[in-house]
Amino acid sequence: MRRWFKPIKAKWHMVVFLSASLGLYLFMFWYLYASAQQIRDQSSAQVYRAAQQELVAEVKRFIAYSEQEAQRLADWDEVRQQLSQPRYYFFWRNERVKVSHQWRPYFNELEIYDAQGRQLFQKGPNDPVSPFLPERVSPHASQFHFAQAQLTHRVFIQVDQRQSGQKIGYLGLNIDLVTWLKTQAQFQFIERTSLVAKPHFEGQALDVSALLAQPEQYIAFSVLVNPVDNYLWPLIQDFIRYVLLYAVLIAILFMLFFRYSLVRPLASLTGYLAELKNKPDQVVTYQASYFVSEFEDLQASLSSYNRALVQAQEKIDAQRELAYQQSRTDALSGLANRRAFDEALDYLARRLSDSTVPIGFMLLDCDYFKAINDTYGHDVGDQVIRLTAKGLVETVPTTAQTFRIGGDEFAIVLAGLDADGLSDLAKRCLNHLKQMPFAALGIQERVQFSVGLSSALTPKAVDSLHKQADIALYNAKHSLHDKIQLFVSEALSAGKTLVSNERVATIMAALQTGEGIEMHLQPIVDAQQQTLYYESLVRIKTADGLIFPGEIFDVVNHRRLEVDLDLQVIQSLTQLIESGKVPVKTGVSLNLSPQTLLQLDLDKLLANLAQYTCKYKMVVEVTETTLITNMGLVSEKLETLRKLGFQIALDDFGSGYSSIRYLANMPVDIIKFDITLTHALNLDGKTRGIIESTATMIRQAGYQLVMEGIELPEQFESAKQAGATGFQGYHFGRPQAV
Amino acid sequence: MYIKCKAFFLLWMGAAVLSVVQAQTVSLELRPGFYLQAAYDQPQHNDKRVAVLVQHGFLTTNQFHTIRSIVQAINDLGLSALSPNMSYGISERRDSLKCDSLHTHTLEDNRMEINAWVDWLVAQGYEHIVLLGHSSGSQDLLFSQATEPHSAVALLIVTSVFYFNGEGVGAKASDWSRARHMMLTGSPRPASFSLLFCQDNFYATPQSLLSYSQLTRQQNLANFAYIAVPVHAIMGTSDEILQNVGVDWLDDLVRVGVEMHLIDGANHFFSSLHEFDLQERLLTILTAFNAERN
Repeated sequence: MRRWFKPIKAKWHMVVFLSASLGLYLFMFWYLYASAQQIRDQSSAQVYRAAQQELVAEVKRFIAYSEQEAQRLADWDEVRQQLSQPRYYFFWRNERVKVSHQWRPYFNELEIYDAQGRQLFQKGPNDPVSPFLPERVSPHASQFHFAQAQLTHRVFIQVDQRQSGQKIGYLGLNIDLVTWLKTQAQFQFIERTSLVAKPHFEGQALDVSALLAQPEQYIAFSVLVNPVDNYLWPLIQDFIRYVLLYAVLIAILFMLFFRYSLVRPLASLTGYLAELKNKPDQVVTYQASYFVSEFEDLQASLSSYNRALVQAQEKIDAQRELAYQQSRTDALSGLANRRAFDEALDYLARRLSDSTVPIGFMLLDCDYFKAINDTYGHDVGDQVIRLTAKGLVETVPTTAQTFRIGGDEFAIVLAGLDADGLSDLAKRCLNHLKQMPFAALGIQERVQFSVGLSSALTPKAVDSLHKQADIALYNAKHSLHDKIQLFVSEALSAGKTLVSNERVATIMAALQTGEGIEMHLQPIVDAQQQTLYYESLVRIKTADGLIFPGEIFDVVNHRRLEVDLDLQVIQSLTQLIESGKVPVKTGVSLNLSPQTLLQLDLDKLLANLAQYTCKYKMVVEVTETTLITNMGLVSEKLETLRKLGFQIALDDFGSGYSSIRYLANMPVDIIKFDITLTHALNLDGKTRGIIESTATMIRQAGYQLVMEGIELPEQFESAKQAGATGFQGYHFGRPQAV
Repeated sequence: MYIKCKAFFLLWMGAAVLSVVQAQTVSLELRPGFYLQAAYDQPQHNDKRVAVLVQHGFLTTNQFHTIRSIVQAINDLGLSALSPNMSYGISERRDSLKCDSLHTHTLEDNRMEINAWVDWLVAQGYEHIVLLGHSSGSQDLLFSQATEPHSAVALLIVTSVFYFNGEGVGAKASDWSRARHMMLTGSPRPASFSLLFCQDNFYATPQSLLSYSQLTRQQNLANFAYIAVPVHAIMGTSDEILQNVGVDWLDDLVRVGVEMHLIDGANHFFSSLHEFDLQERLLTILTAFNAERN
């Protein structure tokens, strides 16, 4: 699943977490602070409006109070005394009034006027003019004035005779409004000490209505700091400061906590894991201490796993090494096996790329090993292998590598050895093997070996060493005397055994499609030279001519295509019979490889041919090698074929490891003497006698006896004398297409 | 003492139940636009031949408790009482005057007002006028009768009477000298003096102060000796001023023909239960006066 995010380190997680938390925290308190400030502003505005209303109310109360005070003073006896006896008014006004209990501290001036509105005390030209009260009664009974930085209230009230109500004068009173407000008013919203008359109206008169309309225009004041400002607001600010401080402290604590509890342990563990990765095969000790016990446990677990892993790795390495050794060692012989052999060749190829040292290769094979194995049992066969290995090891230099690469096939690779040295080594090996005590194993026959040699000077040549030695071994095995064959050159051997790539392609195509497959028939005749049946021999027809079995079988054997070839032969032979090209009252034989013979559905493969067994003599030819390979199973298969109506012929008898014992047990009907035996009839008398005796014995055992390779009339005669019942060879006819 | 008080109390209670007093404030235009005021208390069944003019003490009014007690006692006897407010230069004065008020009044002004009120009583039909003063009011009445005696006045009753100028009554000789000097130097502006209970704060013109200076101890004794009507003096033995001037003052009064009535334990204002003693003495004096008239 594709992830939509890229993983980041723990410390960045910590930074992101702390930043987000702190940011959220700060935003929250910024919001709270802004809200509180908004409430504070609204409260301040409300308080200011209330202060304005309060000021208006107090000014109204002041005006009423001023009039009451003026009236009270007008009723004062001493005022009336002055109106009656104004002689000492000057002293009374200046010295008496302001010390009387009638005087108030916010009074600026009191003046008494006569009935005509004139001041009782007539001032001279040099007398100072009062800023508070005029010399004559003002027509405005109540009016405010700005004087001497004060907002004063002038009140004039008429004084009447108590008895008659007759006007006897006026009383003028000037009161400082601001002082009165400061000392007498009750304010809930106004800071009384802040009250002050605005100075820029000095000397101006102000009507009561104008003052009441907008008192704040003429009187400056400050509102009382409301509880939010005075107490709650500093608390809020302190609280926010403390919260911020705590937030920073908590962030630091969180950072330290994250750093020492999570980030550093994780980084330490990550470093530890990286070190483990860099040193996968070592026990890595890591000294670190953590605040969190789980990390300690994790660290301990990782260390424990590391130790266990290293120990397990060591065990695995040991086991792998053991398995490596075992996988490259042949259990039976104790030599290196085929896998080790392949690796050794690869290694040599690589090493040879920068070296000029020649590589010698020796391929050794035990002749007729399978016959030994089957004759004397697997235990004996195994002993043969062991002795062979022992002999080779005792012979080859210690620098050489000896392999068992097949059942009875051994390979020896030796660097720095030329062809002569290689041949000498091969001879020493064969000589030493002849000394090995195979007879002690109960083997009565001589155990014989074939050796193929090859050498290489180039890396490319190393790849061909095995094939070249195989070719050489092939030649050695097919030689009765030269059991050591050296692969001479590519060109020389190619003409005999190797098949060109073009011809191989042709053969392969024929095997796959049947194209070009052509069956040639060679007659087998009786003593009267009457054709008994024909042996079918495969050819592949090309534009350049026919490809003969030598080349075909080189390709087939090397590529294990025996079954494919046999299927094409069966198909072609079936067509041949169906087309009526096989003369009536005769028959036909075909050669089957051991591989085909051992096919589970052999009866089905031969079903088409089997239907002609009643009409034709149908013979299946098998070789000695076929017989001695899985003798039990082969016997069973041959019995099956016989039940289908086929006769079984043992081909090339006498060319290899032929054992008389087979004849007693094998389900065969016909014994075909190899050409070497046929030709041997004309050698010396002793040989002839043996062959004739063998032929007699075969005849007496009830088998039909066919001799191959009869090319001359005398050979025909010798064969008849030997007791053969069938004869085959160029003397009677070459294989021909029909 | 207790028996006397009880008997007086019973008598007074009986008279009080029977008498209904008509109280009114009367004014008297002394000069154009200047009015004198007085409380005029008339019993419903009063003796139209006799009226008592009750004069209050220095700077007070007719509402002073001693005056009211005296007036009530007079009314209880079935006599009318006129208790004027000395104007002290204030038309229709209603309140007591403070020491530091501007004082321009003189002893002569007071005498003129007393005479005006006596004339007013006579004009009301009363034949015999009894002058009854308390404290300095007694001196005003004494000065009035000694200097400008009125023929309708038949009896003078003084209570807590002393003198303005002398030792122990509050006046200072230096003030008199200062006032005289101010007058002589032509600068009669108001100043603070000492007079009676106004110590150093009697804010008055020199003329005003000096007018009272003529009433010395000897002058008052001489005035008592001079006047033709009988004089009764009611004095409290615990009067603070009496303590200051000495009890020989009482002897001097008796010596000049004043019939002395002492109320034992009474102070200058006959406070508390001594008001009844004062009323009893007045009852006795006025009852005797009425008996003589009849």
